[in-house]
Amino acid sequence: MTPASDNQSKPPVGPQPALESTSPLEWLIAALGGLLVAAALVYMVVFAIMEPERPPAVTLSVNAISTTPGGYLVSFTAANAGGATAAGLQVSGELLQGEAVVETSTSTIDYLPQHSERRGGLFFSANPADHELSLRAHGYSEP
Amino acid sequence: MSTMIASPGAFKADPAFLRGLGRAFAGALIFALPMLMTMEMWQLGFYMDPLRLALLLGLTIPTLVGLSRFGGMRPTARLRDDVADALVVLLVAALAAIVTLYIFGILTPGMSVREVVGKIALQTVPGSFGAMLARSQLGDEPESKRDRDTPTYWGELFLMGAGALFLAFNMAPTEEMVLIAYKMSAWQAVALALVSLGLMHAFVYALNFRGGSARPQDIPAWSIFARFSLVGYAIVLSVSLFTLWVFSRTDGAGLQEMVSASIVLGFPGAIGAAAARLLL
Repeated sequence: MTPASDNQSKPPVGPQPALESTSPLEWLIAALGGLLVAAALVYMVVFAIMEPERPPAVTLSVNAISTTPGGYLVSFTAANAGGATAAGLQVSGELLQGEAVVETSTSTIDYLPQHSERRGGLFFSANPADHELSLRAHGYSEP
Repeated sequence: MSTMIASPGAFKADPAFLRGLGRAFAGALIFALPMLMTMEMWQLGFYMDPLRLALLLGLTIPTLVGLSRFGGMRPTARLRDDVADALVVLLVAALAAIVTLYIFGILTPGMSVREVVGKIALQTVPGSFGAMLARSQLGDEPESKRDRDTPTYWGELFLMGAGALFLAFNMAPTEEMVLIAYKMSAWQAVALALVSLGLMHAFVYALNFRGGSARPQDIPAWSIFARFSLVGYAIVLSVSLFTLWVFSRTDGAGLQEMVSASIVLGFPGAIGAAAARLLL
C-alpha cells in the first residue's frame, strides 16, 4: 500500500483521539443525502403551493367480475383525483333490474389519499353480469 | 477545501466510515422501527400538511448537526464535518425507511408521488435521530472520550429539547395522546404536569451530573431546579405542542384540550429530555 492518503488535512495525533475530517467518499454520500432531503423539501413546498385546497374527488371503476364459492365478486378501484384524503370512504354497489334494486353490497376504504388509488371488492349472490351494476361513493370523514 | 480534491484512490472506502454507516443503519432501524410499524405514521405521511412536513424535515437538519456536535457518528473536527454527518445520516435513514416500508407492503403501485414522498420523508426524521445516536449507543468508544466536550448550558438545553422531541415523536402520531387528554380531568392534568416535573428534576439531578462529582458544590439545589428542571420542562411542553401541531393534532382543538394534550405528551417528553444526557 502506498501512503498516498494526503487528503487528510489534519495529521493523526498520537494518543489523543484524532478529530476526523471528512473523506471525499463521505462528502459524496453527504451530497446525495442533502440532495434527497432538498428534493423532498422542495416537492412538499411546491405541492403545498401548487395544490389548492380541494375536496376529495372519487371515481370508482370495475376491474373484474369473478365467481367465488359463495357467489360473485366485483373488484373495483377507487381513485381520488381531489386534493384531500378521504377517510372511511363508503362505497356501495347496486345490482339494478330496471328501477328495482336487486341486491346491494357495501365496502369501506379506510384511507384514500389524494391522487392515489385503492382497491376493494364487493360480494354479490346474484350474477352482476345479468344486471346493471352501479358503483357509488357515499361519504367520508376528514382524517 | 483541500479535502475535496479527489486524489487517486480518494474514494476508497475507509473501513471506519463503512462501519459508521452500518452502525447508523442499525441505529435508524432500532430507533425508528416502532414508528415504521405504526399505522398512524403511514397515514400521516399522506394526510399531514405538506408545509408542516417540510418544516419538520428542515428543522431536522440543524438538530442533527447539533446532535453531531455532542455525540454523533465520530469525533468531528469542524462544523462542516457535522453537516456532512447530518446529511449522511439523513440518507441512511431514508434508505432504511424505503427498504422497510417497501418490504412491509406500505409502498405499493397506485400510490401518488405525494403519498410515497410523504411516507418516506416522515419516517426519515426519527430514523436520522436514531442513526445519529447510533454511535453513542452502539459505539465501542469509551465513555471518557465522549465527555471531552461537556456541553454548555445552552447545549444542555438543546440536548433536552432533542431528547424530548425524540420521545414525543414516538407517541404524538397515535390517537391515544388526544384520547388520554380527553379522559383526564383538569386536576389529573395538573397532577401529571407536577409528576413530569418532579421526575424530570430527579432524573436531571441523578443523571445529568454523571459521576456525581461534576456538580459544583456551591450551586444550590433550587438553582438547578430553576435552571434545568423548570426551563427544561418548559422546553418539553413547547416541543410537545410543536409535535402535536406538526401532526395536525391541535387543529380545531380548544385551548384546554391543547394544553392537556401537551401535558400528556410532555410526560414521555420530560423523560426523554432528562435522559438525553444519558443517551447521548
